[in-house]
Amino acid sequence: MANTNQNPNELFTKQEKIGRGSFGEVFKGVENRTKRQVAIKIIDLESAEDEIEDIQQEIFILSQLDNPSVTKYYGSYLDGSKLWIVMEFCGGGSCADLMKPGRVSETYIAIILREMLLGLNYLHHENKIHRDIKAANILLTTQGHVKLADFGVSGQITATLTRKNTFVGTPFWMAPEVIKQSGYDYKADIWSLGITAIELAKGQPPHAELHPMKVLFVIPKNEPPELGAEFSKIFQEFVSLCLKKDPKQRPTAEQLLKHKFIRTAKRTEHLTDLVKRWQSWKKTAPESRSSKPEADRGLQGGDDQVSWDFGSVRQALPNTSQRPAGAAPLVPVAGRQQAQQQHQLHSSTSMAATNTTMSSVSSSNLSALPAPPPIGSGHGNRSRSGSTASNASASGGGLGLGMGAGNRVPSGFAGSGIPPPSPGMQQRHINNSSPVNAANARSNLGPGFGSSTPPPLPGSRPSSSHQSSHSPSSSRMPQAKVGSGPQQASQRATPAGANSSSNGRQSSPEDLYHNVLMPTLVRLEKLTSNSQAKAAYCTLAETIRRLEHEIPGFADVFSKELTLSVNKFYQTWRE
Amino acid sequence: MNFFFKSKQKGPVELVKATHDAMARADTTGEQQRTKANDEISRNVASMLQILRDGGADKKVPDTTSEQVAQLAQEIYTTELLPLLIGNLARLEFETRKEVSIIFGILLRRKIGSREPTIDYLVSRKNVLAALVCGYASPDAAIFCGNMLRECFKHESLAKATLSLPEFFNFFAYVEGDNFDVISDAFTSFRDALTKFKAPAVAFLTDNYDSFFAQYAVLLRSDNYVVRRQSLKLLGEILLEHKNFHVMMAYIKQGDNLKMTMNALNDKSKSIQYEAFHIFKIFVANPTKTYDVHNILYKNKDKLVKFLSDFQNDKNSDEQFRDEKVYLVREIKRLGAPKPE
Repeated sequence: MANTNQNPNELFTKQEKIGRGSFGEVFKGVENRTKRQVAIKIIDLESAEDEIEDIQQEIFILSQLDNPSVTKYYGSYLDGSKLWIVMEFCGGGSCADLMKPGRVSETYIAIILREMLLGLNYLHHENKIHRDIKAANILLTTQGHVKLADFGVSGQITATLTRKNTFVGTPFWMAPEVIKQSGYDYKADIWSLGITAIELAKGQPPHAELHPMKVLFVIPKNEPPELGAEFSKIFQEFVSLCLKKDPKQRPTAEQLLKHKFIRTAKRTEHLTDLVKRWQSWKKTAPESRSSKPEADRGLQGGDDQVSWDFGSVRQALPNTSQRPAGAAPLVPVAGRQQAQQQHQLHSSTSMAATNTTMSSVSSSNLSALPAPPPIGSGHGNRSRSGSTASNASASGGGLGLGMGAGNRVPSGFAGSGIPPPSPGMQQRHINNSSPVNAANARSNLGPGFGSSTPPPLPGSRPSSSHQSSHSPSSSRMPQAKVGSGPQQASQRATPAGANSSSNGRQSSPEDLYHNVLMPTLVRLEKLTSNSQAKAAYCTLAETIRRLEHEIPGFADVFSKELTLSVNKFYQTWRE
Repeated sequence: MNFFFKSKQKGPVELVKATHDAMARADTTGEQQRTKANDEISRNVASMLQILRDGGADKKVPDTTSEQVAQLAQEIYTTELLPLLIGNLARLEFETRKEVSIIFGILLRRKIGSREPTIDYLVSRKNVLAALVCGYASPDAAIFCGNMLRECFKHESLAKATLSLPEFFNFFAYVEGDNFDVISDAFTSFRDALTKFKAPAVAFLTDNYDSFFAQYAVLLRSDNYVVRRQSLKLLGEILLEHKNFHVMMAYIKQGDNLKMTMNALNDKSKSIQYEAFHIFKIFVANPTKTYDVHNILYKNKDKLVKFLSDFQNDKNSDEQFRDEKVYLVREIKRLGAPKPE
């Protein structure tokens, strides 16, 4: 398909909004030339928090996939700063939709799981991990074909880096090793498949009654969830195979395809029963579609409504998140509409076509969690941190450069950069010599360069900025900066935690966890510049230390590596 | 499928030869013949990949590889199969294109003792790298060539070799093409080449300063939002790279560059403004401003002070950014009339 850079508005007719996916909103549409139905994800790059590069990464992954078990990518088009990502339209709804009219029987679940396994088998052989497998991301065509969708957080495993170290996905479906951030591979998808199997069978994933953040504690600590005795032995066995806590014990998709539960599954066409059931349910249950447009608007207004950002999943947080985890679980409610809402709680509408109900209902359930508190200096913009990283860490010695406050500053001018208070400026000129040299060597750029060559790059990144502060060639000012950045950060962590707790009482572990630790962790993944990572590390260290005090053994929940690196970092900073 | 054909397993030498032959036949006009030849290429490429995998060449430590692997690799080098496959990538099946890029990656990681034969080969035969760069001209080949190219850019010698190609300048056309997927991919490779390894990038930018930045200026004025924004960002990265110090010094001497930056600073897109800000500050912070630059800043002194005071105050929670603005305002306020050089 030729996607010339013409206005996509001329190529496609955009129809109603059908949901939200990672990065943007999804619309139904028609390709004018072929009249075929498509799903269009529209992202305003100007307002997207995410870097263009992240979005390009998703497109890149999509464009490499060509398999009947994966939603087909048709192309991307730019309309000013708005990017249209055009994909296959799946009119049969998501598996989360199909569960709305009522339970889905094992017969159908087996078919769905087989088709999912085919998709995962393909992906894993392509060295890709989906990372967000759940019912809401499994779409059906009206013919009952099953497709994996929403690759917003998918990762590419390269031959040299076989294990990912990032924290993405949706808590309820996350594998223990993903939560512990101890590095994971494609087996994480197999765990999520097992959770999705339970979700399909029971209507919701395990621990659905818990705060999604609390789930992050529970999954690594508890025994794996089980399907339950009300289901067939063979199905139970299948699920328990997927839910081995040790990823090495989990079978591959290829092996699972040979499992009896899957081998005996019926033909795909039977799934049209489910599609039809859902479609007629939609028609006969108009009250359940009572969309709340004002909620939608609230979502975009977004002042008091914050959705967590796990990597790049845009997800409406379940209602439960509004209550402290100690409080009563969500009161069970009767009636179909409520049951539906219950579903909505855990489904983030994904790229592809489901129905209009979904997004509107789920957005009305958006929690009003407080915004993550600031975590130290220099977090204003991720993009800056990204580019600084390349300057600071890879330049083979951008020491003065990287350590100021994560700045993009001409290395030659001040070594530590903008803003230099005027008294300090002079001194730094002498110390760093480059501007002076530059002045001497205006016409030929050579000499200034040589003398401004920085000291060699110390080994590890977090500590590197530290060592630099002791290095004789760096100036006094940057040293002060190095000290002050993290200090501010750690000082800030405390009030931030306290602020978030109500009525000024001592911040509870829950508050700390939700409002300081998790947002910091989530951000940490994006931060690569020394100073920003440092500030984040300090916040983490402080928070983990306090949480460990309250809940002994807390630090174990997080990976040893993380704790170690935080401690190490914390120590270096104190020295 | 032809069962007789299948039962007779081809060895590496035959496979490579058969692929060459099929490629020659694929040039013939007959539709049917072309399809047949294409099928054979697909089969052969799949078999080659199988040989590499069976021989353990795709393992993390590809030391213990089979005789077959060595033979296949040797055959691929000596018969120049890589440039042939890469040059014809767009006409191959989707899966075959992907397999070619996987084979390329496996060969690239191949090691014999401390020797990396594929890297040596690619450095000596630059036509392969050139073919990869030119792959961006075809949307069907682009992402696969991009993939292979970025695998190459993990090695300094190959990054250096690519930068030395006249074809490298084709990137200016590719990153401003009309296919979003292609321009995204091309820009990623372009950036990798210019930022990943400092030494070759610095040498390249120094040697090609005039031609490079003349063409770069076109990107900075592009109508395409993504091209403009990404090229501004990359410019910032290049200029602020410590080792590019003298490139930066040359860049911030030129009044035209300042004008471009100030125009971008005034763009209606906040993201573009923000990228421009990080370039603009370098001009201001330079203690040895040229007359041109000084003059432009001086003439716009009041406007700039006002502009910067109001500039993206919603980002003021970022101390760094706020401090930089304060600094810039102070520096600009201090500017006296420029002295002619």
